[in-house]
Order: sequence, then C-alpha cells, then structure tokens
Amino acid sequence: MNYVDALSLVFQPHTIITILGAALFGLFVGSMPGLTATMAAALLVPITFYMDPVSAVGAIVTCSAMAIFAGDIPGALLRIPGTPASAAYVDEAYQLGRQGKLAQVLSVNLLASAMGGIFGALVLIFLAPQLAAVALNFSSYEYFWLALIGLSAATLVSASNPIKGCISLFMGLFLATVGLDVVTGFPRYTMDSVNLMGGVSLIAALIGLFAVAELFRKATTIDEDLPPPPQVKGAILTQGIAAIRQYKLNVLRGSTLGTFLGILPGAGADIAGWISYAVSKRFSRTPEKFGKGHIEGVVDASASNNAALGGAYVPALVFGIPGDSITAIVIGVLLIKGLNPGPTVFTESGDIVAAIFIVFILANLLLIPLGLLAIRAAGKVLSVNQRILLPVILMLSIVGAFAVNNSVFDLWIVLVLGILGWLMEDNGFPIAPMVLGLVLGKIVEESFVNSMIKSDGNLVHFVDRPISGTLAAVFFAIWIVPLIIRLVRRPKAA
Amino acid sequence: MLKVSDLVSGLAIAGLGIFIFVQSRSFPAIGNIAVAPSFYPGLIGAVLALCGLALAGAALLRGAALPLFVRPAWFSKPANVVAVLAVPASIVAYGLLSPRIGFLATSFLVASGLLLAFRVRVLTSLITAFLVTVALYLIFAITFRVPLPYGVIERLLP
Repeated sequence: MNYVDALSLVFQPHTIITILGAALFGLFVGSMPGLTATMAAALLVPITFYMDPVSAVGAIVTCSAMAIFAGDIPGALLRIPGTPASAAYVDEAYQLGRQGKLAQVLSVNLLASAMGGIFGALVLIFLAPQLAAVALNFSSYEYFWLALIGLSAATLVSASNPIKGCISLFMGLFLATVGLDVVTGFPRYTMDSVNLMGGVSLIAALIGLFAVAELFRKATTIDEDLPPPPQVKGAILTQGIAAIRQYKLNVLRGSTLGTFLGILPGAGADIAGWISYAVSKRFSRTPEKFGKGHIEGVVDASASNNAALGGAYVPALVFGIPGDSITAIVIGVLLIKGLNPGPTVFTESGDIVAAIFIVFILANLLLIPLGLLAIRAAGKVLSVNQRILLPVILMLSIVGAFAVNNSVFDLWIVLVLGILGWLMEDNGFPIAPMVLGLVLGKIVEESFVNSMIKSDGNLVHFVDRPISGTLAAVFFAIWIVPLIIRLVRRPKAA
Repeated sequence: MLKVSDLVSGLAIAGLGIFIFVQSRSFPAIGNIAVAPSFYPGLIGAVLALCGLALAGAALLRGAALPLFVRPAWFSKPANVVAVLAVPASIVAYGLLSPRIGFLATSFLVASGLLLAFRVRVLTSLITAFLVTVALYLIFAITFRVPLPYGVIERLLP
C-alpha cells in the first residue's frame, strides 16, 4: 500500500467535493429523528454508482460518521435519538440539556465522536493489513467457515428472538440464490423473467429494505409534529474540552470497546452505544448520578458508537464479511466497482484501500468543524417540515433505484422489499441479517461448491486444515454454547 | 404495519420454505458436479420451513397464537392511511408513467401527488415538486449523464 499515491487519490477536487457533500448529507439525515445512518448510506448507493471507488466509499464513510454523531443532536434537544446509535444515552443528554448544559453535552458528543472515530480508524489502519497477510493463506474452506461465522454472529447478536433472526438471514440467503446458478448457469427462482436472470438487484434491495421501509413507517405517524427545538447558545467547544479532559480514560475505554464491538460481525454502532453506556455506569465512581444528567456515560457511548464504524471495516475489508449493515452496503458498492473485498484487495488495490483509510481520518477531522456548524444550525434543521422532507427522500429513492439499470423492474423490487422490510421489522424480524444474507449468499455458496468440487464431495476436507478446523469449531461453538448455557441455567432457575 | 401473530408468520414462512424446497427438486443435476444447483436452495428451503414451524409451534406453546392479526393504530386515521398508500402508489406511478411521458413530467406529477397526499399545501407542493424534479434532473441527467426516460418535456429542451 502506497500512502503517497493514496493521498493523491483522496485530494482530487472531485473527491473532496464528494466527501464534503456526503458529510453535509450525513449530518442532515442523522439530525432528522428516525432517519438512520444506514438509510443515509443506502440513499447514497445509486449516486456512488457513477463515481470512482475512492469517492464512492469515501462518501459512505464520511456520511455514516457524520450521521452517527448528528444522531446525538435531536437526542439532547428533543429527547428523540436521531439514529438508533444515540438511543442509549438520549435521556442522559436530554437531562443535561434541561439543566442548561446543552452546549456542554453536544460538544462532548462531538469531541468524543471524533476521537472515537479516529481511534477506530487507527485500529483499522494497523490491524487490517496484518490480518490480510494471514488471510492470504486462506482457501475456500476457510472462507466458507468465515462466512458462516459472520452470518451466525450477525443473526444471534441482532435479534432478540434467535429464530426470527435466523428466518431473516435465510430469507436473505434465498434472495441471493435467485438468478443463474454460479456453477452450472441454470436459472433458479427466476419465474421465467429475464429481469431476474442476473439476480435481485442489490441497490434496489438496499433502497427497499432500508429507505422505503422506513418511509412507510414514518408515513404512519405523518400527523405528528416534532416539538420546537431549543436554541444552543454560548461558546460550544470550550465546555466540551473540560469534560473530555476530566473523563479522558472514558474516551479511551469507549473507543476501545466500540472498535472491538464493531469488529464483531453483527454488533455495530447501535449495540456499541448501549454496551459502553452500561459499562460506564458499572465502573463509575458515581453510578447513582446516571440517568439524572451526568456526562460520564455520554463520553463513553459517544466515543464508542463512532469507533464501531471503523472497527466494522476490519472484517469487511479483510474477509469480505460485513461487521454491520453499513459495511454490508459498502461491500455491495465495492463488488459493483469490481473490487473483491478480501485479503487480495490489499495487494491488488492497495492504493484504494490506503485512500479509504485516509478518508476515515479525514472524515473524523472534518467532523469537528462541520459538527459545530450542525449544532449551530440544529434549530433550523429540526424545523424542516417532515411532510415535505419524506416525499423528497422517496423521490430520491425511486429515481436512484431506477437510474442504476434504467429498469422499471428494479422499482418493483424496491416496492416489494420495502413492504416486506416494513412488515418484518414491525413484527420483530430484524432486517440486518437479511441484508447480510443477500450480500454474503453468493460467497457462501461459491466457497461451498468450490470446496466440494476440490474435495470431490469429501466433507472431511472442510475441517482437516488447522485454520479451517479451528474456524469450524468456532462456528459450532457460536450455536451450541448459548444452548448449553440456557440448558444449564434452566434447572437452577426452577 | 399490520401486527401478525407468530403463528401466522411462522406458518407463512414454513409455506415459503416448502415452496423453495419443492421448486429446488426440479433443478437438474448437470454433469459430474459434486453439488447440484438444487442443493443449496433446497437446504435454505428446508431450514426456513423448520424455523417457520418452530416459530409457530413456540407461539402455540406460549399461548401467544391469538389474536392472529392486530389492527394498527394508523388504520383509524384517514390522513395517515392516505400517506401510507401514497408511498407504493408513487413507486407504481413512476414505473408506469416514466417510460411513456418521460422523466420530467412523471417526476413533477408523482412528487406533487405525493406531497399533496402528505397534506402539504397545493402551492407549496407544486413549487417543491418543481424544485425536486429540477434537482434530480441536474444530479442524474446532467452530472452523472444517466439517460433518464425521454418524453414530452424533454423534446422541448435544447
């Protein structure tokens, strides 16, 4: 990886303009209650389709970092988290705001987010190439187990009901089988439609599941207006710097925990926020102050959710296994750009990977000035009429999904998956495993079929290499250990 | 959205799983390949069928099978029903109209209808729809050079 060449890729005028545009878009979407960072990334996909890989991934990296921070703004102002990643500490932030510490809590959100984001990015920069060097020795057997581990962890982490998580995952895997069979070219589940021969369009599926499903949900409460937000007054940064100095170890702890959770498949920024807030309370000297307007937990969790973003790119880039739903989208974008996420991307497209790393640092540095602007403009942004905003987002979704292939058929995919996503999520079926299944489905099948052909159908070869054997043991442990724990605990509870 | 009992969703998913499995049996095995095209989707269908049955069975065991459906709160508010229905209606309208009358006319009509369904005032709806259409045209047709559907208004453009 050559960082000098990578710098020249990033510091192109069109790339910088794209990054700035994506940053403003991310800040706006993150600030709007109910619109998530994943939705912002999904809405960007059809636009990134026409960009070079660095601008495309750079736009998503920047947009998601900004959106995760901006989600804190309506939390502190209105007690409504802008994105689910801010939900853990929304009460705490709101209480602080009511105590006249609005500028303090928002500046802590901003500074801790930027520090957490940079920490996660540094871990990504140093860890990913080392892991990739190891992963170069992997064969299809190892990839098969890795993909299964990624899918299993994502399913078990994201669902409160494991069966529903599993159903969601297998629905995604099924959607990935639609189209021509990878080995024989036989059409499967295409219903004799030429449009389905190439499979379900990933971009249309992402827009349907993440954007249109969310718009349906927002339309059900269109008669409800947001309360008028209070204005943020006075100097912002100085108050945050004092709190960050006081709780510097919390920044480090939140960042470390967030990065680690981000690396785990399935546990993204949302879960990182909850766990870091809980850990902060558990180890605080003043746990009794939590929930009544105490900044300590906000420091941990704000750093953690932004750090998780960088962590999630480690398995995504090294193994092609997404750490969260945003990296699932990024993998889709990389595949569309002809880059195969996996260890070879570090050798074949090292400059692009290095450029993505640089964008990570740049995005988190840009977060401070642009975040300050977003805090200042929060009153105006939150006054935007949702009844106008939602139709505008829907128009962007429709035209974006249509424009990629100029295909009316893709709109039907958007519609069907939008309704399905809405129905599923409102009935307790998580969407993230379905998207992971859709993105990873072909990789799982290809690595399985390739391995079966290589081994001539002998399943022993799946486990007789040291790494593949270990990965197989991890995979079975993920499923069996929770069951054993449950069985052991049950008699005691009785 | 409609809240559905786990019994109903479980049985529906089991049905889908069985359909996927049965369909996969019709895929031919080709040549000497160790894994037929039917193996992987067949496995997915079988797991989905089992998971669906497990979900339905668990609902029955918990005594949580009823009610089968719960009417959502937004159903009783006509304005919200109109807004919800406007979402699929606009996607369908764009899909049907744009190849016939072109992007500019379709986008303006669909956006206006959508904004009106979301209870935005008529003049504001028309102005917003115009601005959205121009912005989308500038982004996709001018910046990214996407050949958007050509139609009545495009013919008048230089």
